Amino acid sequence: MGFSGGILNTGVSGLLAFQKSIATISHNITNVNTEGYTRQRVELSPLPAQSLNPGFIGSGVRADSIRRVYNEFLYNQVRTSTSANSYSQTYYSISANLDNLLGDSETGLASVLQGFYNAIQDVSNDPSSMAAREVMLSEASTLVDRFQYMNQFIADSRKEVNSRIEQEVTEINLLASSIAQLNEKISHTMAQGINNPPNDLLDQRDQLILKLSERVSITTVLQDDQSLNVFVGKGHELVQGASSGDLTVASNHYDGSQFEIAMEGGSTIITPFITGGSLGGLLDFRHDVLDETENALGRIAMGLAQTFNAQHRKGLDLNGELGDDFFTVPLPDVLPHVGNEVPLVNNEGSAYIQVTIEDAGSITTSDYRLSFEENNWTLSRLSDGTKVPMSGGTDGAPFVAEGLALVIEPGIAQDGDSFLIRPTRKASAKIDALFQDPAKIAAAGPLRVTESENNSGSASVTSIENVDPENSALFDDIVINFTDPITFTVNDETTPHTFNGKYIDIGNGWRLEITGTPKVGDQFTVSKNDGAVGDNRNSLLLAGLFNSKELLGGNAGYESAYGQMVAFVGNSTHQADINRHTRESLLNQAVDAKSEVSGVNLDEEAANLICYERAYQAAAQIIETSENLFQTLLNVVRR
Amino acid sequence: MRISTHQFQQQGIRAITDMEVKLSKTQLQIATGKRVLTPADDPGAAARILDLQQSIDVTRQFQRNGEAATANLNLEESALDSVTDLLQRIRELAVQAGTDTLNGHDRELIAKEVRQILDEMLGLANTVDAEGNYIFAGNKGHTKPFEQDQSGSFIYSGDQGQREVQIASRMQVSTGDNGFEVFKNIPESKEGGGKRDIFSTVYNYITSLEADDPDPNILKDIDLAMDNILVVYAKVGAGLNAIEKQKNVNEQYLLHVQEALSLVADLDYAEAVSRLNQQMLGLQAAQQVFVRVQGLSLFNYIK
Repeated sequence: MGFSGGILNTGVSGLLAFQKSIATISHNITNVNTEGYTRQRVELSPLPAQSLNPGFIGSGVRADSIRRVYNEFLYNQVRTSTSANSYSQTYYSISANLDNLLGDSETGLASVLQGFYNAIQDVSNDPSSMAAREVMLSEASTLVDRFQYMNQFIADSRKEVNSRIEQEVTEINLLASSIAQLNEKISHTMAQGINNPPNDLLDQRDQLILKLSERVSITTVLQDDQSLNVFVGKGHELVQGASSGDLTVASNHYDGSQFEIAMEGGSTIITPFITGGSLGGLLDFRHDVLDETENALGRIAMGLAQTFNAQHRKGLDLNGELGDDFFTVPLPDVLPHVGNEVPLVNNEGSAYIQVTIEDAGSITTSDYRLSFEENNWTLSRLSDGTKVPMSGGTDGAPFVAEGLALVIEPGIAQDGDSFLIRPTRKASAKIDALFQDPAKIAAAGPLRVTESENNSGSASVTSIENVDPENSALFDDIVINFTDPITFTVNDETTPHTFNGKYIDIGNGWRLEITGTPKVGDQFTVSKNDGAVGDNRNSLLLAGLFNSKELLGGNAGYESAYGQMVAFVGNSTHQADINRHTRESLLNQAVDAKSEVSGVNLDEEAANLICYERAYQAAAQIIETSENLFQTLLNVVRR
Repeated sequence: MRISTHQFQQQGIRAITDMEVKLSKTQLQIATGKRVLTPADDPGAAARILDLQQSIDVTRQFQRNGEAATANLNLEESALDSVTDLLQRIRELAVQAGTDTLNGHDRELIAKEVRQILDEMLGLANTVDAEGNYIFAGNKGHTKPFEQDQSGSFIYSGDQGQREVQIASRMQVSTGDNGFEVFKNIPESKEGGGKRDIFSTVYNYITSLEADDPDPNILKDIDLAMDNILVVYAKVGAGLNAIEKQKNVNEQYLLHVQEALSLVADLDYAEAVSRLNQQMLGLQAAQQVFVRVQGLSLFNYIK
C-alpha cells in the first residue's frame, strides 16, 4: 500500500472506531435510567503495523469489541442480597398484620379475659343475682367469640399465604421460562462470534435472574455456551439451558388445605428446601409465626376450657346439681397421611387413633408425627425433630406424652403409615360456651357442713373441698361423731377412724378441714348444699384460676399465657423489622457497589462524548491531510 | 471512585424516604400519645403493659368487691345495733318485772311489751338486703332463717355457711354472719345448760311473766346474748376496718401501677416533639439538597 493511501486508511479506521465509540456513548446516555443496564465500552486496539524502512508504522485503530463494564462478584452480591432483602420484607410485612391485631386492645384477648374475670367476681359478690349470672354468661360468650375471631384472622392470614404462594410459583415459572428463552438466544449468538457478546441480552438475563431472586433464593452455573443453569432448593433444577422445569403448588400430605411447593408434576415436595426470597419469607412466616401463634392461642383456649370445666364441675348450680362443662374442650386434630394403609376411622366408624388431652399444663405448641415403622409406633416432636419414646397405646394403657393421651387400636397399621397430630391448632376455633341458662352456673360449693349446736370442743370447720365430683357417695349424708379428740366414727358405724388433727377424708369425694380440737360427743354433719343460693365458694375458686399457674407447665395463668404469646409475635416481628433494615441496607450497599462499576454516569459520558467528538474531528483532519498530500503530489506531476 | 447518575439520584431519594418513615412514626406516636404502638415496637414492654393493665383491672374489681361487702356489713351492723337496743330494753323491763311491788297485771303489761320486742327482733333476724336476700340465713339467702312453729319452738332454716369476697389477691373478707352464730349458738346461763337461741330465751321469759313467775336467770341470759352479739359486732367492725384499710392499700397500689404503666406505655411528649422537629428539619434539608444537586450536569455546559 502506498504511503498516502496508508494515511487515508488510518484516518478512516479512526472515524469508524470513534463512530462506534460515540454510538456506544449515546447508547449509555439513553439507558441512564434503564433498570439493570450495564454501561458498555468499545475496546480499541491499534491495527497491525507495517514494516517500513526505517521501522514499523502503525495503520490505525480498530474497535475489537463492545463489552459491558461488569464485575461478576458484585453482581452475585446483589443477587443474594436481593433474595435476603425480599425474604425479610415479606416476612416483616405479613408478621406486622398479626402484630397489629395483638397490639390493639380492642382486638386482643386481654380485655375479654379481664371482662370474664370481673363477671365471675361479680357473681361471687351476689351469687343469687340472675343479672350477675347473665353478665357472666355473656362475657363467656364474648370470650369465645374473641378466640374465634382471632382464629379467623389467623385463618385469613393462612389463606393469604396460600394465595401468595400460588402467585409466587406462577411468577417463578414465568421467569424461569423467560430465562430459558434468553439462554437459547445468547448461546445461539455466542456461537456466531465469540468476541461479540450480546450485551443487552446478558443484561436482560441478569435482570430476570434478579427478579427471580426476589421470589426465591437460587444458585446459578454458567455453561460453556454462556447459557445459565438455575437451581432452587437443594439443587433442584429450574432452568437447564433452553428448557425450564416447573414448580407446582401441591397439597400437604397430611393437611390438604396447606400448600406445599413441589417439582416434577407435584411428586417431589421441596418446601423444606426453599429458602430466601418472598416465597421463602412466606413459608418461614407460616411455619415460624403463624403455626406457632395459632398453636399458642389454641393452647390457651384448650387450657382455659379444661381447667375451668374441671373446677366448674366441682360446684353446685342453682338447681342443686353439680356443674356441667362450661366450655367445649377442643380435641387435638389427627390427620392421616395420604395413602395410609389404614384410614383414620375403622370399619365400625370409631376412631382408629384417639388423642385426648391428659394434662393441659404440659401441652406444647409443637405438632407431632406418629408413624408406624418396623412394627413399632414412634412419635416425633416436629418443633425440634426429637423422637418421644413410646409404649402401650392401648385402651387400658394409653400412651401418655407431652400432655397427650394416645389410644391406638392395635394390629391394623402397616409399615410406613403415619399421622400428623396437631394438639392445639384448631382449639381457638372450636372452643364454645355450652349453656345459656344462668341458673346452671355452679357458683356454690356442693357440700354443707353443720356443726352440732351441742359441740363443746374448740373444733370448727375451715373448709370442705370437693376432690372428686364423680364420686357416687359425694352427696351421702354423713355424721361425724368424735369419740375422743383424735378418733371419730361415721354415722351409726362403730369402726373408729383416726383424726390427723386437720383433715377428714372418708373416701366420699370430699375432704373436710377442721381447726381446733374436738371433744367427745362433738358432731359434724356433711350434707348436700341444697338451697344455698348465696354460696360463692366455687365461683371464688373459678376466679382464682385466673391467678393460678396451671398452664404452660405450671408457669402461667390464662392472662400471662396470652402475654407470652403477644411477646412472641412482638419479638418475631421486631426481629423481622431489624433484619429487614439490615438486609435493605446490605442490598443498597451491594447495588451501590455494582453501580459504582457498572452504572452510567452522565458527566463521565459527556466528557467521553467530547473526547471522542474531538478524536473524530482529528481523524477527519487526517483524511483532509491525506487529501492535501495527494493533491500536492498531483500538482507536482501536472507541472 | 465513581458513582452512577442513577445511583446518585437513588441515594438522594432514599435519604428522603427514610426520613419520611421516621417522621410518620413520630407523628403517629404523638397523635396516639403512646410510645409502644404495636408489640413489635418493644416486645418486652408490650407484655409488661398487658400485665400492668391486668393488675389495674383486677385491683379495681377488688375495690368493687370491697364496696359490695361494705354495703352488706353496714346493713348487718345496723341490724345488730337495733337488736342490742331491743335486748337492752328487755333487760330494763326484766329488772322492772323483778321488783316485788309489781302485781300480776303489771307483769302482763310488761309481757305484752316484751312480746312486741320479740316480734321486732325476729323481724330484724329476718332482715333482707336490697336484692331480697336474707342476711342472717348463711348461704341460703332465699330461705327465711327464723320462724316459730306450732309448738312454739324457733326453727333456724339457714345454714352455717358465710360468703366471703376477695378484696386483694390473698385476702378474703366475710360479707356477714349467719343466724346460727348471731342468734342461735348462745350458751344458757343455768348450770350444765346447753345452747339456746335468743328467741326461745325471750319467749320462755314471756311465758314466765304471764304466769307471774319471772325467770330469775333472765338477766344473765340476756347478758350472754348481748355478749354474743357484741362479739359478732366487733367482728363486723373489724371486717369493715380491714376493707377500708385494704381499699386504701389498693388505691395506693393503683396509683403506683398506673404510674408504672404510664412510664412504659406513654409517650414522653417533650422528647417526641423535639424529635419531630429534628426529623422535619432533616427532611427539609434532604429535599433541598436533592433539588439542588440533581440540577448539576456537565451537559449544561456543552453548547
